[in-house]
Order: sequence, then C-alpha cells, then structure tokens
Amino acid sequence: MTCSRIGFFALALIIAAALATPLLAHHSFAAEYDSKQPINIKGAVTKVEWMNPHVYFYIDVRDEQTGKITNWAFEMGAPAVIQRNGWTRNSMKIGDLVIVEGTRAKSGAPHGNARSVTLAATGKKLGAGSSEGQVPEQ
Amino acid sequence: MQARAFYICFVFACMIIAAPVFAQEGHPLVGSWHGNWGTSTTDRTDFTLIMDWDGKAISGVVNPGFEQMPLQNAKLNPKDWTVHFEIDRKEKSGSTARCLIDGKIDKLGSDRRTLTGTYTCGATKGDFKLTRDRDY
Repeated sequence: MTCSRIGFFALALIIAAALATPLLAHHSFAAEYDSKQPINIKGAVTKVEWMNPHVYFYIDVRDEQTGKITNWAFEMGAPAVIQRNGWTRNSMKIGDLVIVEGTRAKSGAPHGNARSVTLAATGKKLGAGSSEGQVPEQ
Repeated sequence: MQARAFYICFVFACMIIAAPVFAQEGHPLVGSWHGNWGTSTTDRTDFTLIMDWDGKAISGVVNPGFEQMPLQNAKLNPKDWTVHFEIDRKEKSGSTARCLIDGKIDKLGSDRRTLTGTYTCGATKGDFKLTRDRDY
C-alpha cells in the first residue's frame, strides 16, 4: 500500500468519525429510560433547547416541605415531530409552570423523557413526541 | 493529481474537525444558574438565576415561576469578571426589600463556571454561590 493510500484511508476514518459524532446524541428509548418509572411532575421552566435530534427543556421542581429545588431535564421529540403536535419555539417560556408526564431515566438522575406537557396557566396539553408513544393534543 | 485530491480531503477533514470550535458559548453570564444563598452556612435557600444578553444589556430573572424577581441594573465588568445586579425581594412580612447582589465569575472557561459573592437586602447581609447548568 502506498503512502498516499494510507493517507486517504486515515482521512476517510477521521471524516467518518467526525460525521458520526452527532449520532451519539440519538438513542433508543429503552436504552436510557425505564418505562416502569412513570413520573408526573410540576415545575417552572428554566431553559428550552430547541435543537435536533431532541428538544430539551429544564424545569425547577420545588419540594413544598423543604423548599429544596431540583432542576429536571426532559427530552422531547425532534422539533419537526413536536411541531406537528402543536408546539412552537414560544410554547414554553422561562418561568412558565408546566406539568410533565413522562418516564424517568434509568440512571435515577433528575432526567426524564416527556410524554406530554400541560401548561398550568391555560391547561393546554401537548404531546411531547416521546419515542415511547405520543399523546394527542387536547 | 493524487496530491491535489489528498490536499482537498485534508482541508475538508480540518473543516469538519474545526466545526465544533464555532459552537463555543457566547456571553459568559448567559444561561441558567443554580445554587443557594443565605446569611450563614446553616441558613441556606435554593436560588435559581436565569440570565440573557441581547447585545446591549443583561436581563434575567431570579427563581422563575415561583417568587419570580426580574433583574435590575445588571452589569458585568469584563476586566475582573465581576457582576452586579439588583432585585426586589418580597419578605415574609409582606414588605419588599431591594437586594444589591455582587459576585464574581470563576472557572470562566468551563461550562460549569461559578458565580459567587455577597448580597445585601435591606439590613440583611449574606452570601451566595451559583453554578451554571451544563447543557444536556
């Protein structure tokens, strides 16, 4: 094998590795979430990341007895998927109170896969494009 | 001809590898921060701070969704990375106290940078420590 062929092969590997990196962010539901741990949780939105392959949002959940705040991260479907469920970039704003139904991560961390999100102020419920199953808009 | 193709591939590979560099974060205050504040090591209350930068001014809110308090007079001094902002905090008595909050950003290059400092709310003085949330 000539030196230039080795060079091409090495370059091809580098390009393939670089292009494949974003795919690691995409994963199966069963790999990360435990369908036996359903959650229904209310909190205030602190951040929304509208991006592929999954939209993420974060809520502060306050323990009413201790006042302790836990910041939960929730995964939704891809932007194109949840837009079909009625979502826009502005559906959730910082400080909005929401009720999230979903499934907790296997790791036990404050992280889950959202199945639906109800906006507490309006009662509007939107399917979150969960890879476990979707809830139609009400 | 082969050398030219190799050169093109090499440039392409460099561009792909360099692409994440452009994903670096912008203003060091932007994001959500979590931590606590209080008057002593035993008197602590959880504290959430959200900050944004529109290119001209820093805006934000403390404890969004709960006793939400908008930031006022927020300023960043990039010479020493000190931060000042003010909020109007509702006290248990029902009155409102103007809180003056001054802090300093540490671990500036980290996505888990910290903001620590002191506050004065009326006659009450205390300290706070916040850590910026990492993007998932």
